[in-house]
Amino acid sequence: MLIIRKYIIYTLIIIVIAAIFTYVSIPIYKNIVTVRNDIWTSIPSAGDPKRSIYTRAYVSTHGLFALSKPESVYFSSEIDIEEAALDGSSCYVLSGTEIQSASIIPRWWSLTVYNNDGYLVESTEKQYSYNSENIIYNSNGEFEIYLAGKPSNNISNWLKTPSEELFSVILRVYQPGEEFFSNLSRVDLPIIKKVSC
Amino acid sequence: MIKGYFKKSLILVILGFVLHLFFINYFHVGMLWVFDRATGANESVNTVLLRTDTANSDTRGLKRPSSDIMYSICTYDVKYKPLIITSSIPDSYWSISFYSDNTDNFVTLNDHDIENNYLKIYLAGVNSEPKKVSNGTVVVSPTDTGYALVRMFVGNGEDLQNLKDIQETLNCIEYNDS
Repeated sequence: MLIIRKYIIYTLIIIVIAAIFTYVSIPIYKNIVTVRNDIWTSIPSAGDPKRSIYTRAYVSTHGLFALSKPESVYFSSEIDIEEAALDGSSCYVLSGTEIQSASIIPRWWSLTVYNNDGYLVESTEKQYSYNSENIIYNSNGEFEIYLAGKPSNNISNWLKTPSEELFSVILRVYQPGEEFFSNLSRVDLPIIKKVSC
Repeated sequence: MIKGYFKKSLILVILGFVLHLFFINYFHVGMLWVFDRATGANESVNTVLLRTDTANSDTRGLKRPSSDIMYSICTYDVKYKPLIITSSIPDSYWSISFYSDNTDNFVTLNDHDIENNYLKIYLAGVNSEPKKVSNGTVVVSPTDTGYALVRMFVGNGEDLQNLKDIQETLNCIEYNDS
């Protein structure tokens, strides 16, 4: 009986140690598997069969079926340019120019807002994202998306954010070309700036 | 005495680390379990499981879905027989991606890779390669089971009905070539 109790205690200790390793490793492996580009992070080839077990686990938590290079790359942002968490109780402007590297323009791209659970934000307008074909550009060739609970009078593109909840933005870029993949940490990407509501 | 405790502690830490690696290595299994139950993938194989409209705020099962894509999914088991996957292809972005049972994306073909706007793929397992192949591409899955995921970009939504019609042409059926 004593021996059984002893092994149960050992097993529990092993489980606790495994849980501690997992908890500690999450922020560490996030930094290892992702590439940072200003406010954005990406995984160079998220669905690649040669990826590490940590990359596979990290991708699993963010969306199971990721594509690999050269088909697509995903950028994720949970912060604004002041490095503050994106918060549904605030308002933001996401602004950028055509997403490209050198002269190669990707096949298409899209920007999507997700709530804290990783699902699309409830919206009566059913506008959950903008892509390279339906976004409205300004006369100077740039685009802006207003990220807030209510639309803006000045900015045509609006994505509803979840009220009183943290949120994230994902930029998907399809078939961006080899050079884009070689410069994931340097390509020009949109910025997200907090503004008064 | 101290040496004994140190040795025991070290063994427990090593076993804890091994358990941690095991957990990380099989983390996707839990996520797939949730996905399979949400979509019915656990009950349906070698057929088109889903033909979805673009994702909305009610979409569950898959985290961070794209609302710019219409998805279709075929779950497959090619242990004994290959599968034939056929579909019409639109003039806009379209791709089919194959995922092994651990969610690794081992092959992706897009509309630029496919001739005459018509897809014909023989999807086989390592031990179930087709004996007769006509006018198609052979894709060999590294695992007996997995997922084939079709993505269609909806763009500005003007061609939505045509894309829905094309989505209906997707077929995944077992291939009997013996």
